[in-house]
Amino acid sequence: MASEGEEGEVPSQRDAGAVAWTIWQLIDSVLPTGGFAHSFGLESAAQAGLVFDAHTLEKFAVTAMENTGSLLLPFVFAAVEGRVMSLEEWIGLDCALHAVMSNGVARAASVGQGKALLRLAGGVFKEIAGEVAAMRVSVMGKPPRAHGHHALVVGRLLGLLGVDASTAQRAYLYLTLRDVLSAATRLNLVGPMEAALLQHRHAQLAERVMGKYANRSVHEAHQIAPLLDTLQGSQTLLFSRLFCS
Amino acid sequence: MAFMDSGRRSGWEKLLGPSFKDRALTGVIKVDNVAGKSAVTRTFAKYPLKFLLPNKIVPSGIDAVWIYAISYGGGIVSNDSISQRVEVGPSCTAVITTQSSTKIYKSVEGKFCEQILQAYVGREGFFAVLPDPITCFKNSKYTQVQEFYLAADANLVLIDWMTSGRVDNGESWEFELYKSINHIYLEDVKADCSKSTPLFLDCLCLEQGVGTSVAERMRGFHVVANMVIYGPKLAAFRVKVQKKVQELTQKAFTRRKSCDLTARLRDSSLSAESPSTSDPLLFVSCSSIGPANEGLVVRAVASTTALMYDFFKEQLAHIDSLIGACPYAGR
Repeated sequence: MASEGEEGEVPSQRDAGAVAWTIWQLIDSVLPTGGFAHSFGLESAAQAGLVFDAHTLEKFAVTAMENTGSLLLPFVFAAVEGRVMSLEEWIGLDCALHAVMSNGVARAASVGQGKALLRLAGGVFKEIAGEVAAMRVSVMGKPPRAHGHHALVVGRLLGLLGVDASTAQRAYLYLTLRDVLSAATRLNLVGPMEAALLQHRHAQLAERVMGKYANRSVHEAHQIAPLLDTLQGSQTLLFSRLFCS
Repeated sequence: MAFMDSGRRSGWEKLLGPSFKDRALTGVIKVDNVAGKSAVTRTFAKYPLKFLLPNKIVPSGIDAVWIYAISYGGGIVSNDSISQRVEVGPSCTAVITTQSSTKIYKSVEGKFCEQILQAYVGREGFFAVLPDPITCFKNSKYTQVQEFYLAADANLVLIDWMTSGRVDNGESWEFELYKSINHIYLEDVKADCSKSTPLFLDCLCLEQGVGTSVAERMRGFHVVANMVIYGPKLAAFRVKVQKKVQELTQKAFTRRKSCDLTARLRDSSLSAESPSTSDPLLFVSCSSIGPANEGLVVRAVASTTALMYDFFKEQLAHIDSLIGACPYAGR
């Protein structure tokens, strides 16, 4: 009986279970994609004196998350929805995102993390090895035809692994918040307890960001935070720094 | 994805939807090479736009056409739409500027104002877009779309900037919407001319956010600016600007300065004192763009308009020999 049950009604549940494990793995800090080398501009904002305590950090995190929502979620959405999208279309999106990300520091961070994830994915997600290999060739081949931007790599991987668009976009926002708060603890702006509290409190806000920016077309992608953008651009010129971006 | 095949369809249609066909252009300017010099060969403007073409600005020996784009009353009222097309012919130089800041008046019945500029720059041409800032008044709504198509070896200097409002009247970041789109495409030399690749796709949108207001995000800064420099003629200019920006960044990030800012922010959050009364502040950063880093994007935020004018004046002095004068002189 039990075995019949497992084979009869459970496949969808088993699929859902597999998808959940995939998501957890992709957003886990154990996954070595180098996310923790990046502070989303927090380090330069802190050195400029803009962020100095829990309150100013909260404002920063809110803005960083909303900027991810307005600028990058449309690209995550396009890539995850494009499960059947050809590689050519994905490369086209990647070149467009490269032109959108004109801030050199953010651009390098996006490319660095995207490439790291792509390298890893080929060895880990064997079920989509063919598609991943094709993406790798386009990014790392000579000459490269794409840059491998993070939002598009994450989006396409999640899409290919069967994750729905809403979950993928939510996961991408989560990555932003996780990395900002982790950077904040290491910059000694808040302690780990306070960071955990902030993370919990920001969940509601993240849902509002989802409500406003999820499922948008890439033509609607825009910046909302010129001050942070300008400061982040100075990251590589800081005299001493912990983070790449 | 329309981003990628921009050239195949009209850029206007792509950005603004098919409805654009129904819109009439309010201005057209064409600059061509006539007897070895840049000259305006076609000009058309209708309300609310007007062009002034002074010929005494540029000293003899420098080949450049200057165009002042002027709107009646110095501003744009809600529901106004200004759309202009500029063509700069091969090897020609054109400068487009304004006489003073463009005021965006309050939105009536939710209607917004828009300005659209589409520009083509021919081979080895040079186009400089050097306007005064946009100032959005309380409750205004403004959208701006600027699109540039550059042929091989074309050159562009684009300044796009805005201020928080009528700061002297205590009005700051109180507009409803400010949206500025700047797209730069390069003509693809290998493929046929109808294809172009995106170099710079920028869209800044300032409105009440999900978690923060615009004022909260700007933290006492009142001016936002972007400057894009592209093309082989401007390689030396880029190096100079880059150097200056790095110098300013290092200065701004020294410990003393940072502490000042922190102290100021703490004070202003306590006493709600207007930050514009304290030390002026300017933050700039820059990034290379383009496949061979042949372009530079400079981002800047400042606490006062005067500070930004000074920064631009200092930079534009380096291309005096190309454009003949600085449009911001005396401001």
